[in-house]
Amino acid sequence: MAVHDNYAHGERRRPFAAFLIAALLAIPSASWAVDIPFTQLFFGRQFRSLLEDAAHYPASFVSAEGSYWDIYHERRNLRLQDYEQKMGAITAITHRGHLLLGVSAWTDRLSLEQENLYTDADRLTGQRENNGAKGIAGYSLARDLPLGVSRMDALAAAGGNGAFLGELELQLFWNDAASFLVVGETMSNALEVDEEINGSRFPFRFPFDTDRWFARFQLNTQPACIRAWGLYEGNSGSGDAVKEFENRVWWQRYGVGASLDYHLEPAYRLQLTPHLSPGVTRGPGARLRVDYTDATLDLAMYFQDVRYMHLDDLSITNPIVRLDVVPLPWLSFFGGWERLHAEHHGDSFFDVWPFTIWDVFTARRYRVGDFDTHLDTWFAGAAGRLEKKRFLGELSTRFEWWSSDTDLEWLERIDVLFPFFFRYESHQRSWSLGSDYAVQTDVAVWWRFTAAMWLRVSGRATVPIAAGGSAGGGAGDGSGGGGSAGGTPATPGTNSTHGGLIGTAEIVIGR
Amino acid sequence: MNWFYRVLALLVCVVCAACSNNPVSEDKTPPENPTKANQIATEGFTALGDALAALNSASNSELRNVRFNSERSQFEEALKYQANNGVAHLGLAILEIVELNYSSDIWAVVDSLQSWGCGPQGILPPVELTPFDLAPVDARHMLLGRQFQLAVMLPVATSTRMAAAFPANVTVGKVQDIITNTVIPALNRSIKHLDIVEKKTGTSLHLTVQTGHGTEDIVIDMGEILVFSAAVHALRSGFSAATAYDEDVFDHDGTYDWLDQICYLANDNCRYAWTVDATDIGGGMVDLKIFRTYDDTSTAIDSIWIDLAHYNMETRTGFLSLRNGGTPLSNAQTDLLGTLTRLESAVTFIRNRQNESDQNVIKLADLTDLDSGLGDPGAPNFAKNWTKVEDVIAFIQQVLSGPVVFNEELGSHHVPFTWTVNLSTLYTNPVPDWNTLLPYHRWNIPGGAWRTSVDSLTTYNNSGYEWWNYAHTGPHSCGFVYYPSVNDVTLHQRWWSFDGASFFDLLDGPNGNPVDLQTARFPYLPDYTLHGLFPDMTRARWLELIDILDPPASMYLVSGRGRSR
Repeated sequence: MAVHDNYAHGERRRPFAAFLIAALLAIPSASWAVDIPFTQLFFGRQFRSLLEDAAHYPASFVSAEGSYWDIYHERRNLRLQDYEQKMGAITAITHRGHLLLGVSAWTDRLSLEQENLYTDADRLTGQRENNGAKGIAGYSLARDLPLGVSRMDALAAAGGNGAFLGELELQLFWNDAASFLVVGETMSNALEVDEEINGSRFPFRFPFDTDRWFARFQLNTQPACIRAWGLYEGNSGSGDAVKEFENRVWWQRYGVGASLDYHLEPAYRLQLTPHLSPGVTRGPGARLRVDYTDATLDLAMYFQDVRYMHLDDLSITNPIVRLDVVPLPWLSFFGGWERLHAEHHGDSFFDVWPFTIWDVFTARRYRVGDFDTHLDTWFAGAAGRLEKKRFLGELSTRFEWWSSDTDLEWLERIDVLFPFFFRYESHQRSWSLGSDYAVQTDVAVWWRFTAAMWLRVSGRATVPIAAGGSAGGGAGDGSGGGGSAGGTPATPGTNSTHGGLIGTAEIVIGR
Repeated sequence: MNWFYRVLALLVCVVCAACSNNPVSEDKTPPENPTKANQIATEGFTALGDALAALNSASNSELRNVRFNSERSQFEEALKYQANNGVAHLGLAILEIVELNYSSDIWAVVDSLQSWGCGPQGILPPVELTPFDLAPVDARHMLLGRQFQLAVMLPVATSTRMAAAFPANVTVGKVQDIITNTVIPALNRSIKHLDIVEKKTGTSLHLTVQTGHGTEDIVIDMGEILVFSAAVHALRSGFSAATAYDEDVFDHDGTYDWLDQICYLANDNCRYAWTVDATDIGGGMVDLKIFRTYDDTSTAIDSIWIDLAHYNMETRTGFLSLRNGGTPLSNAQTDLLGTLTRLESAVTFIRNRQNESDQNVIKLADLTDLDSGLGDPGAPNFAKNWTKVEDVIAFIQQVLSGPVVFNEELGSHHVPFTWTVNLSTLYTNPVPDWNTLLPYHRWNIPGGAWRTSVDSLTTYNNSGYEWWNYAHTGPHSCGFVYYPSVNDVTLHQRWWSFDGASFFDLLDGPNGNPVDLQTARFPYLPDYTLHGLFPDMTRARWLELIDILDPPASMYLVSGRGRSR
């Protein structure tokens, strides 16, 4: 496999940067955006609590779970992005008095493919494999403890996926009134990207280390249930395409969130992920849920110890409001709104010189000034439920409207007298995505063979119906020196559609 | 000297001393204080940067009144505390160039260009040019932005400006005089300051750039300074080369009136209008006499160009001949070599830089990135062994200093060919007159009748129908004319043509016979070495090269075993 080079054109540093930028820009529908988009895909398995999971399972059980994700994103100039994730896991856990013991093994493979990066002949493929196993040990104590704690669960897991993997969990309960959960995890992984530009290949391997912490406090009041959480995720790593090429990336995010569930009794609680919340309250009623997450993202990229990209304080907020109305025990109607909002008001920069060696003579540099984008999703739908002895089936279909607006101001460093004097010019651009429509369908079926043995299958499909296109916004240039102000012609925006399929299946054998 | 003059001289001295603010015995030079000097010079440097950045938004009238007096005072003040302060001399080196803005001669050229409305009709809008726009680069970049590009593009830019935009009262020779008398002396002064800075190897300074949202810190040290010094030498080299030859393109009157003629022809709104003469024949009917020309404008413009070429090449003395005895070209070569030496020093400094940081404008990573682009296996032989920037610099030094032998595989069949290039001879032994190197030729119509025409006359009956077309409506006006009832039409058409082969023939020797270039493959030259630029080339070798680059169809016959000749 010959690795051609485009060194003379200074393209050697393109691969990872182009890939990452494309990925960050490729925010799919908010339907997928429970977390900051793609962080979960890129950095490994879903971040979830073993302690919480175990609480919904029999005292001793073996479970096998598989899931399949296929998300695509099409837009002009970056015609197709396709992300496919296949994951399988086997977990066995048993309780022995206060002790919890278990093992878990998994395989998790992400494949990504982007076509038409620069020209029709350019493409990018990539994969991240995460195969590993870990041993689990926990301790549970249910009695009166200091600070009014009625029960405490602690868990530690250690294993490997080619490198050390560790996890700690602690969960505290104050009877049924409140609970506190903290989960921490450290792991290593690697992303492999293969970019092809004009027939030249740029293989890139990017190993990275991840540290994640999540803490949540939940107050179980009636009729409202309040949750508040905080999260931290730090990633760093360095990779190379060929031996001379080194690139380091560092990023981290902090987030806080709050959630309010308000039940208008009697409520009928419908869950589309029944294994996590099997409890059902019968009777007509309504349920209002409000979620709000606010995260901050920092990102830096280095080449040969020179920091050429620095993104500081990218704020991402994700409010969700949803109302479920349940007129009949087997039927509910729901609607709501979700917004994924990202904004930046710092002084970040992105040196363009990694992309063309000749810019050494101009030292051109770009900075992100103000950036504000949001993707709104309005949705309305209906859900039905069928329960027959050991069978539970749920079907939910919702119609979505997507729209987004983006305002971007970037600063361009202009050489007044190279290499001594520079000035900055300000550029603005706005664009908006009209209305896109999609139908999302969720299906969940659940066979309970016994109280401790079941099979669960669920799926989600999002199908775009129409792409409303987008309007190129007003664009303008202004001089940082207070000088000439002019305008650049508005350019058409990018038509963009998203869709995909998610399927999961789980079988649990317990006693 | 008698006593009277002795007393008078003494009195003058006393009066002068009394009028002075400072006693003669007082030492005006403050004690050496490098820290203070650096502080003042850095403040001046920052102020100079701000002033230059502000020029971007200055109008033309504001620009000519820009003065850098306070910045100059700051640098000169710094030199009082340290006579060889690097930052102060660097600032003065820049000032010497930007103060070209003070030159009334340069502004006179600019004003003339602006006032020239492209002919008496003022068809074209005034040319918007300022001294800072003369660089043929992006308008956002000023005169000194991208110095390398400026130096490389200067001859092209000069000729382009001359051909398309120079008014009648401005000549290339006058511009060359301004370069010689104003621009190059300013660069000389600048380089004199830079020579001092280059000896102060520890010179560095920290600057802050306002981004509009915050600030950016940059560090400048000898790496950047040497690159700038190299750029100034390259600039002086380019200007020197631009003054080396007589490049004026005069018409027979010794003026640039031909630009107005071309401008008028090219922008005459009525150039496609017909001439229509209507005669009333009663009953509301008219007879029409129509005159129409084809290719009138284009052949007329071509005719002017050919006439200019003929006049300047055959009649005008001095066209494309050396000015000032070739001194500018030898100076240009010296400056080019100086440019390379400084670039080499800059590279050495940056590779060994002790405090490399993100804030350096030219980083070590830039060099390693440039290095990584070298050594391509597919590169020509002369570049195959380059592994670092220094190799490129050394090669260019070699090319500029003497003969260099190239041995490459050329053409689609990769035929080996060896030739020698001696670029330095164009600097050290310049061509006295480029006309003497032109291929043997002769002009066939020296009288100036460069174009010919064919006429046709047609008459037809329009049967009283209407007729309309775009036509002249007055001496300098045109528009659509309409006749509702037209009887007889007399249509006079004239096709202008311009046969390029008819006025210029290539010959096979002095006063020789005309040759067909398709058959001859290469023109016959008085000197096939082109004044020593290609010292080992002969006609036979040029033909060999042409055959390699553009092989005749019969030369390479495809066969399974290779080529046959």
